[in-house]
Amino acid sequence: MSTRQNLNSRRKKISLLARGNLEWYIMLAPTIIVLLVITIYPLVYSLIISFQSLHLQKPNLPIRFIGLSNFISVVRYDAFLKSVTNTLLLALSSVSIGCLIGLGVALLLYRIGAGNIVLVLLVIPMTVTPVVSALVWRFMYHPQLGIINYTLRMIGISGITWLAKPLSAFISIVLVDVWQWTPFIIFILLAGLVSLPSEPFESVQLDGASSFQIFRYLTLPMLKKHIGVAILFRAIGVMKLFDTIYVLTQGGPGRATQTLSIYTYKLGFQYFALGEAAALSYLTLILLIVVALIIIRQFKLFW
Amino acid sequence: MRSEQKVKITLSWLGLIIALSFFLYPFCWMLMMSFKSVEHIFAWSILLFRPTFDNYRKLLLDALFLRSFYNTIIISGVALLISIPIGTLAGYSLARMPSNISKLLGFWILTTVMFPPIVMVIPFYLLMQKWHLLGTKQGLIFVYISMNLPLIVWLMKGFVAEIPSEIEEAALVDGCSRLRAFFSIVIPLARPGLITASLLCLIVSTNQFLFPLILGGADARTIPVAVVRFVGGYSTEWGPACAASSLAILPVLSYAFLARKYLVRGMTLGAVRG
Repeated sequence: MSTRQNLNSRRKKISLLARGNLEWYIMLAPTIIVLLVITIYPLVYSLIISFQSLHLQKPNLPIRFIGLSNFISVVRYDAFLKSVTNTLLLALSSVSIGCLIGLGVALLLYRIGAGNIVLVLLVIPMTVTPVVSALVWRFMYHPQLGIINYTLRMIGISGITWLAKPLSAFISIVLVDVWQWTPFIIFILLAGLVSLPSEPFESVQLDGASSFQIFRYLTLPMLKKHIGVAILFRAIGVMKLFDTIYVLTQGGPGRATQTLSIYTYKLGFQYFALGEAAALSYLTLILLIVVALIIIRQFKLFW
Repeated sequence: MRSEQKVKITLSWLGLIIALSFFLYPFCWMLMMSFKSVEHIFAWSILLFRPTFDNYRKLLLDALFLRSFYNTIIISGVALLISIPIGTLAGYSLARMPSNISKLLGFWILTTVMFPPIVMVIPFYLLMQKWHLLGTKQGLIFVYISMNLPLIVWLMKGFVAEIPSEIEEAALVDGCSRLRAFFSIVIPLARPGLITASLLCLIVSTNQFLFPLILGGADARTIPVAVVRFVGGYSTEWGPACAASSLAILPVLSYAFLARKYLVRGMTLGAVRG
């Protein structure tokens, strides 16, 4: 880089800070302060634990600083790779299905201008306490007493043990998560649809575009950022999911539905290897950051 | 054209009914179980039973259960009331400020929600113990605020970015202060987004289970914790549990019902969007 370019970029950086855009920082300050206070301590604390050989079942062992060996041993466990794949697969399936259904329903609602009661009803899956709704679903999945197999038996399909086989257990969890959180996507997309300016749509209609064309070339691109935000938060939510999976399968059968959060729980509270659990949670954090970055990049979520 | 529109609308309604049935089915199932007494819950015939209000009666007479409603509304409500202004301001500034810094700050705000709750609990517990916030409403409010903020910031960032900044610029040129422009111009235009964000935050906060379980006490017992009391390690009292859950949705449902007009302003412009 030539000296002239160096000087210019440095000048830009200085002017950015000095520019008396104080108002932006004042507006951001409360958020940043709250988040800083509430998250710094847990993060630092967990980081410190992850470097130590803490083990709840052996309280007499001195807590030694063992550097990165927790991280190394965690990555070496067979269960680690499996839980990473499970987590990513779960996120992929649940978010993509949710988006398809969510977009569809949001468009339907928008077109019909259907009574707002429909919206209120759609809130219900999200508001039922997750633990209880997971239990209800578990009951529904029961091979003999559950309503799902009851209905299936009526049309001739019998004996699917939903939660007992690896593949069907996985599908069951995706189904419950889609059921519970698709309204989240619907709400965001609907609010997005409503906020789109109407002029482009009117002029395009005058030119005689078909509904499909309008959707594909106008609506969809304009909704891109909203879809991106919905996907972002849903992906993070699914990867953190704990209650539902725990109630339905506890990560079983075997390790079929063991995600990173379930694995962390087992490491920390069943095997009591707190140091390793803390290390695993940092690795989870890194995974989430990577996924979030990919999504943000893909949908250009930074204006 | 008329009949084509009609077909489209009928198909849309059909699609909507299918979607609604999917989303409401488990809830209807749960509602049905809440009116069953113990013998009927595991009975073979699912639809034939004598309905009873016993489960509900037991709950409504339970002071502890009612108290948890009060607690939850206060805790989630106050958290929401505090997070909304703070978060919206932050989202607004992120949407309008120069992009290199907004990228960094925006992403950092996002990372604060990425830690699985299971991992945050122990440090939170220790922290709150130190600050004497354990078992208090304020402690939980603080935790909920930190959960609400990233969602509000990012949602509002998106909605504000859609509003062309020319309007504010014009106001600024006329001598209006940035803050005043924010309140009089941006907020009214971003209202559907604001209501949506507040609804989603309310849902997430009232449904929190792990944090109130471990960090709460008698004073901060929230609805999910009270509901799960009926779920045991070996057996579940299905009747009361379902009744409790059905009652538990009332706070958020009422909010959604009251706010429904604002959720999607302008829905009647509908047919144009494809």
